[in-house]
Parts: sequence; C-alpha cells; structure tokens
Amino acid sequence: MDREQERGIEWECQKIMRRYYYHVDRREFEKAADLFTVDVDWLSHGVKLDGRDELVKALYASLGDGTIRHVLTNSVTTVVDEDHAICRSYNTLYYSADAEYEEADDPLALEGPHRLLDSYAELTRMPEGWRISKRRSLIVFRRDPDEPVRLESWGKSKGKVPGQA
Amino acid sequence: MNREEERAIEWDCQKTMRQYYDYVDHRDFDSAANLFTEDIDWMSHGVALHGRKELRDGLQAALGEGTIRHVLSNTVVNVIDEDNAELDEYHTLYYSADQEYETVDGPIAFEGPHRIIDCFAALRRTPEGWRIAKRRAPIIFRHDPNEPVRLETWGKKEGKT
Repeated sequence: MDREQERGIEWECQKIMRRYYYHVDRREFEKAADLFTVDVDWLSHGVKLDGRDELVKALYASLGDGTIRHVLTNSVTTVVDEDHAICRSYNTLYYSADAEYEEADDPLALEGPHRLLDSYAELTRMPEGWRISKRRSLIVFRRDPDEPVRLESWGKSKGKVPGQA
Repeated sequence: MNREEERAIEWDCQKTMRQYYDYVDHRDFDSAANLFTEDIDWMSHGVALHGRKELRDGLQAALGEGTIRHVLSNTVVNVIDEDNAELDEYHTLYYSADQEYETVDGPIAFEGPHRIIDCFAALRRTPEGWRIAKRRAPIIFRHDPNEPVRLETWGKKEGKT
C-alpha cells in the first residue's frame, strides 16, 4: 500500500469517528450504532457492551436525556492493512445531566469541560464502508469524580460493569 | 507543486504533530523525540533546547511525573516547498503536577484547562518522513501564573532558560 492509499484510509476512518459523535450528540442513536460492526466490542466508563443492539440500548439510557457534546481532537490513525486501522483521539466532553438543548430557551450554563478521555478505536472495512469494531476509552480528567453519569448508573443496574459484584 | 501535493504535505505534517503529542502525553519519550530532526531548535515555557538528546532529557524531566493532555486545534499548515512546511495551532493543556493517570484510582479531578498556548512548528522532510525542526510555544492564558510547572523548574535548574 502506498502513502496515498494510507491517507485515504486515515481520512475515511477519522470521518467515521466524527460522524459517530455527530449522530450520538443529536440523539440519532440508530444511525450512530450503524457505524459500528454488528459484533462491536465496546468498553467506556467501565461499562462493557457487546454488539449493536446492546449499544443502542445503552445510548438511549445514557444520552436520551441531558445534553452532551464530544469535542473530538488529536486523531491519529494507524493503518494496519487495507481493511484494518486503529484510531486514537482525545475527547473533551461538555455535559449537562439536567437539561436538553432542544427544549431549553437559552444556552445551557457552562463551567467548562466535564471530562477528558483518551479514546481508542479499531476500525474494519466492511461492504458498507469503514465501521468501528472495538472501542475503549479512559477518563483521564473529570470535573467531579464522585458524581456518576447516566451511563455508569445504567451499566451498574444492568450488570454491565466487569468485576462488579 | 500542485494543490493535491500540498494537501498531502498538510495532512502528513498534521499527523506528525498529533503523533508527537500522543507519544509525549503517554510518556513514550523516545518515540516522541524521534519525530524531531537531530538538530531540533526547541523553545517552550522559556526553556531552550537544542538537539534530540537535550529534548529527550527535557521531556523526561518535565513530563515523567504528573499527567498532561495537549488538546490540539486550529491547525494551519503552510507549505513552503516540497521539503519544508510551517504549522500553527492552538494547544489547550490539561495538567496535574501531582498525579499519574496510570496509577491513580479513577479519573483526576480538574476544573478546566491549565493553559492555552500558541504553537508554531517548522517541519522538514527527511528520509524517515516529516520531522519537526523548530518549535516555539508562547503561553497565552494560564490558570495560575504563579504556579511553576516542572519544565520551567527544570529549565532554570539546568540553565536552559
């Protein structure tokens, strides 16, 4: 594979990642989930999900209320081969648990970023295009480490947090 | 050079910068230093470093402890010719001097960005790919101007300021 082909893959994979957060931040959860492989292996905020169906349920539960914006930066895509790539990024999250941007009369109050995550994704070329087959994210900084977010509460209630009794 | 060739250079230079900060933020200082030219001319936080060896030492001293994330944005690459380019961007830094993300139990508490920096880099094409040959990074905003960061303390001690 030459560098020009690699650049093409890098661009496509970064576009998938951005597209995912576009959909998820606007509550288009089915469209968001369609950007993953059917058997996606997903772990974020300590919550482990397997497959698109579980992912859609978790997205509705965690982001159906409140407002979030994932500001995705620093994306570095490493092309493994013609059909596989790895994308590492930072995600700066702005979040309100209590208000929905669609219904608020004014902008939501903001004190700054809510958390900063290291994001890792493996992507696979499928007949319908590049899809995310594995995702890991680690919260590095957090405004209030003791305040759970909805995904964590939902994951615990559904037994989706590995290692939790 | 046509616009398509320029775009390819713009893309590759952005990748080199992002790759550098991915390495440095995860303490892979050898890989980070290898993204500079051997004769790198580096100045940040008032500390001047010359060459990969000094840079490697500076990175270890400044970022071997604590936790940092350089969030890059507003990147503009100006292609000078086939082998030289310049890059400007903003860096929003999140920083803890006292805790390491690899060993802390859970996320590190933060109140927002620690500082915002104007970053300039000159890049040169080498046989290994695009490498950073010159770097300047003045701090524009700073959460607590009176609290020194490790790089500044190390630079003063080593006579690099």
